[in-house]
Amino acid sequence: MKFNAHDPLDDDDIAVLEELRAMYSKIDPAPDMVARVLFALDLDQIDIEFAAVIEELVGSMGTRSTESTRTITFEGSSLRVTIAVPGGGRSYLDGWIEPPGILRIALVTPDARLETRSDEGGRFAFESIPAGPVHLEIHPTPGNSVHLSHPVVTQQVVL
Amino acid sequence: MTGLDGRPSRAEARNSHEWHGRLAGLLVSARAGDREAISELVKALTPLLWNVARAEGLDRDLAEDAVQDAWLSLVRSRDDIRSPQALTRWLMTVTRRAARALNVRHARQRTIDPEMLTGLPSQDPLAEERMVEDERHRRLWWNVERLSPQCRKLLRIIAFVERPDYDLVSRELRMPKGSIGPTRGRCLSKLRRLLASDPGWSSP
Repeated sequence: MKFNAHDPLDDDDIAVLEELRAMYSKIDPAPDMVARVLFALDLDQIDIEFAAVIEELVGSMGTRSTESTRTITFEGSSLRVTIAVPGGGRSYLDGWIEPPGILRIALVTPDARLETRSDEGGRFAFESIPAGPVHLEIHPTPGNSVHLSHPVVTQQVVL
Repeated sequence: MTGLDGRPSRAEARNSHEWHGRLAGLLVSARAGDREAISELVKALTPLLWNVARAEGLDRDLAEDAVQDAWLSLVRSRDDIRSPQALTRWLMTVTRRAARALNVRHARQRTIDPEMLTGLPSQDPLAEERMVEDERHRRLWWNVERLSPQCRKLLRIIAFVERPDYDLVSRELRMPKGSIGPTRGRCLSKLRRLLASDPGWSSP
């Protein structure tokens, strides 16, 4: 059998392609993207900018090497937010926004909503944050260098 | 009958009028914001886009990002996409572009953080475990692994293209086009020869 490259596709070629498709579908199935796409489109419509996690690092950044700090960076189209959460059961959170500016920031958990403002350098902090799922909202705040056309909502993370 | 991935089986989709007619209708409604149509379209074409992204070497998380990018771009885009063929080609192109951009960005991160290396497709132990279950898949995989990386990538994608669309992607996928349609092409010829000379493989 020659299986010349310039011959038209025959039924056996089609059958091999179908088996390839079945094999890849089995070993590496495509996820169901429907819910995810519809959710992202909903965010689009209610004029919220979504900032997804682009990097998560765990490392000792403090003076005591036994404590490891988690650093999570979110990125939307108009800004980038980084938060640092110390390990060792301590419950505060430092963060900064790029580009820097004074902006109203909310930390939202299933049961609570804490608010603060970043300083001119874009830095902010929350004290006594609960463990569990949280997301941040960064709201358009008049009268400063960073102009947001709509609120930025970060992906939810578990602290 | 629907295939494993919920799409009409290839045999069912052989009628190109049917396949293209269905996509064309969904395309019009989806771009008008009809959620039902968006869902149907996402279900119908995600397996192809998924394999485009995975063939670019993205891990599963990043491949999802690339595929989502493509779908959001479609709904947001003002490009004039009218025909189902143009739709498939447009989505494949956007997915590939998103996948390459993610690859570049994460390759940069990997040089900083070696931990990111875990989870690359070739190191996924689950994938290999699942492979072994089916002897025929294992045989096919073994032969596919003997192809060049370019051929593996091309065949992986073409396997998810509906038959009526071979024409539209044949040039992009470097399948020479014959006078009456796409021809077997270099990579499929190579695989057919490998399978024919493998005593452990019997024709379907």
